[in-house]
Amino acid sequence: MALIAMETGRFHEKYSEEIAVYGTPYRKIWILAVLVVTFVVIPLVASPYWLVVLTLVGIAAVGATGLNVLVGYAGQISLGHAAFAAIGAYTSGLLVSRAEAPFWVAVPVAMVAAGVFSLIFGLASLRVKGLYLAIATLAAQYIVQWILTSWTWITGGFQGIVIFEPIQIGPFDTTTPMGKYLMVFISLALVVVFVENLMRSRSGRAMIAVRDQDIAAAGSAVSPLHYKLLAFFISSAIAGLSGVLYGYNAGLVSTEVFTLALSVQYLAMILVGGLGSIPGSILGAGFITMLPLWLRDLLPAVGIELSASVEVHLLTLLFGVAILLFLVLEPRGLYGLFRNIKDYFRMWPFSY
Amino acid sequence: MKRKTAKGVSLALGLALFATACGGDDGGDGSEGASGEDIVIGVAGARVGAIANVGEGVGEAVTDWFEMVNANGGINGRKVKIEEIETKYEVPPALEAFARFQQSNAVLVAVEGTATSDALTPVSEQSKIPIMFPGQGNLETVDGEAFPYAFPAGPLYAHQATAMVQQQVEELGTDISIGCVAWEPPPGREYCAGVKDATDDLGAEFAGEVVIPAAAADLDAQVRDTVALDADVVLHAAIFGQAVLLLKGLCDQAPDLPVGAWHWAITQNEIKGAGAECMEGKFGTSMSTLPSDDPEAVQMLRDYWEESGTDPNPVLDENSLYGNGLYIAVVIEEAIRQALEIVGDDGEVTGEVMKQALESIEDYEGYGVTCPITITEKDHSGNRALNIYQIRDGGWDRIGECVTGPPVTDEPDVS
Repeated sequence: MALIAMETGRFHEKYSEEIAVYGTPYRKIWILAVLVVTFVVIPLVASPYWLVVLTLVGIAAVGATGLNVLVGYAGQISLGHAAFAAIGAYTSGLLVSRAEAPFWVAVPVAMVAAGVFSLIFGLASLRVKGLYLAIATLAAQYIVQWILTSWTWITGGFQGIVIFEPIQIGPFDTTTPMGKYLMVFISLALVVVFVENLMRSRSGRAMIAVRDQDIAAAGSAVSPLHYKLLAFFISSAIAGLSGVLYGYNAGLVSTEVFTLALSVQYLAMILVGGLGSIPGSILGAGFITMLPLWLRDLLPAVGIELSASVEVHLLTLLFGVAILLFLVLEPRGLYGLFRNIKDYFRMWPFSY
Repeated sequence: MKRKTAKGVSLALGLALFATACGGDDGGDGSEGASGEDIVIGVAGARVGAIANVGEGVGEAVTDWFEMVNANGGINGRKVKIEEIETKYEVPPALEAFARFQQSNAVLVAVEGTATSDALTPVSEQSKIPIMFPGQGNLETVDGEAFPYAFPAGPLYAHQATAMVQQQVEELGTDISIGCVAWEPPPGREYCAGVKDATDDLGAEFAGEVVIPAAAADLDAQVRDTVALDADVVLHAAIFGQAVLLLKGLCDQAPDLPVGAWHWAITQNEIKGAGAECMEGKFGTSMSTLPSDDPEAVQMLRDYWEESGTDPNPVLDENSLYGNGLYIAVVIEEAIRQALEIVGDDGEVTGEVMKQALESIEDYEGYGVTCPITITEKDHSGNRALNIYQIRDGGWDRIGECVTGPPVTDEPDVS
C-alpha cells in the first residue's frame, strides 16, 4: 500500500528560500496549471458569453491588484482609484486617436500619467492617515470627474467620448471576445508577476514595514515618504492600465464610466478577496463581478420566478447581504478561506 | 467553528457556480432570430441605481406592451420575447447583459441610460445587433453613417432644450432671458448647451448656467445662484432627488419664477417631493404622449387588461415615464413589422435585418404615443419633436404638441 506523504509545515533555512518564487515544488505545478487553464483550456472551451464575463473579471482584477499594492501592502487607503483609471484610459485613448501614437507607446505613457497624477494625492499621505487620507483621495475622484466633463477641449464634448481603435495584429483582434480576453489576461499575468516580484524585493518589504509601523520603519532607514509615494505610483499606474483595458474592451470611454462607485467596488474586491494578497485581489474581483450573475441565474434555477421589478430589488438586497455575511464570517477574505481549506487538507488527518 | 464556516461558505459558492454553469447557455452566439421562432428583444434595464425611475417606467411598459402583442397573436404571427437584464446603470453589467442577449440570439437591444448606450455602441457595431435608446444618449449618434448600429430613434437632450426655448419664445416673445441649471454629468451639460444655442438662434437672451455637482445632497448654493441669474424663465436638467431639492428651493426663494424641465423631472416624483402647490405651473418636455392623455396605445392596454381579466399595471398611472416605455415598445413593434416585410413572416430576422427595418420607419406615430418618426440610413434620430406639458391641478396639461426647436449647433448634419 502506497504511503501518501503530506506536507506538515515549511521550514526555511536560508534567505533565498524565504524569497523564492516557487516556495514548494507544488507551487510550480499550481502556477503551470493556472496558466494552462487560463491560456489554453478556457480559450478552447468557453463560449463567447463566458469570455466576455471573464474579461470583465480580468479588468476588475487588474484594478483590484493595483489597489491592493497601496491598501493591502503599503497600508494607505484610496477612494480615488477610478479617477486614476480614468487618467490612464483618457491618456491612452487620446494619444492613439489624436496623436496617432501606437498602442505600445500609448499604454506605458498612460500608466506613467496615472502614476504621476496620483503622486499629488500621495503627498497628502505623509501628513494624514486613514479616513482623512480617504477623503484626500476622494478629491482626486471629484477633480478628475470635473475635468472630464468641463474641459471639453480635451475630451471633445460633454460626453467625453474617446474611441479606442481596435488592436489587430495577425489573428489577434480586440474586436472579438477571444482577442479581448487574451489582451486582458496577458496584462493581468504581467501585473501579477510584477507585483509578486515587487513584494519579494526591498521596496515591497519596505512598503510592508511602513504599513505595519511607519515610525519604526523610519528608524530603520526606510523612508515612509519615499515608499508611500512609490506605492501610490505603482498602484495608480496599474489602475491606469485597468482603465486602458476597459477602453479597449468597450471600444470607447465616456465621462460617466469612472465614478466613485467604481472606486468603492475596487475596495470591496480587495476586502472580500483578501487584503495584501494577489490571489485575493483576483478572487475578490471575480466574486464581486460574478455574484450578481450567480444570484440572477440561481433564482430561476431553483424555481423562483419573480416579476422583473421584484427580482432586481431582491437581487440587490441579496448581493448586499452576501457581502456582509462574507465579511462577518471570514474577515480575511476569499483567500483566507482558501488557505483554511488548503490547510485542512494539508494537515489531514491531523488537522485541528 | 471556523472549519464549519469555511465549509458552509464553500458549499454556497460551489452551488452558485453550479447553478451558473447550468443556467441559460444555449450555445447561441449570433444575432439570429431563426425562421419562424420567437423574436428576442433585449432590454438593458436600469430599475436600480441612478435612473431607477426611468428603468421602472420603461421596463414595465415594454413588458406590458409585448405581453399584449403576444396575447393578440404576435406580430404577423411571430411572438416577441422580451429578455430584460438589470444593469444598475453601470457599464460592466451592461456589457455582460449585451453578451447574454447575443447568446440568446436577440436581434435588437433597448438600452436605458446614456453611459450604458455610449458603452454599448461599439459592441453593437461589432456584433451587428442594433441598440436603441430613445430619450437619452449622445448627440453624435444621430449620424447613422458614423454609428450604423446605434439608434436614438427620438429626440436627444439638446432637442428637448431647443424645443422648450422655442415654446417659451412663441409664448413670451424674444424679449426674455432664459437661465439654465445643468446636472453636471454630460446629459445635463448637453441640455444647457442646447438652451444657449436656441436662445442665441431665436434672439432671446441666455442668462447663464448653474451647474449641480453629480452627487450634491444640498443645493442651497445652486438655488441662490439660479435666482441670482435674474432670468425671466429658468430651464433645468436636474434629476430625481436633486430636481426635488432644486424645485423646492426655487419655490421658497423665487415662487413666481417660471421653471421648466427636461423629461426626467416632470414626473410624479417631483410632484410628491416638492409638493403639488410648488409644482403648479411648472412645465417640461416629453418625447411621448403621456399616459394621462390616454393615447390609443394606452386604451389598447386598458382594453387588453379588461378583456383578459388582468389587473392593470399601477405603474402606468404612478410613473409618467411609462409613456417613454410605450414609445420604445411601439417603435420596436414597428421595426419588427418592417423586418418581417423584408424577410417574410416566417423568415429569419437578424440584427442586420432589424437595422434595415429601423431605417425603413417612415412617418410613424406609434398608436398616438410618438410624434411622427422617419428614420433613415443617415438620420438615426428620426424625430426631434417634443410635447410640452404644464402641471395644472396636480396633473399634466399638454400646452405644446410636437414642438421642434431650432437646429442644434453641434449636431451632425444628417440632411
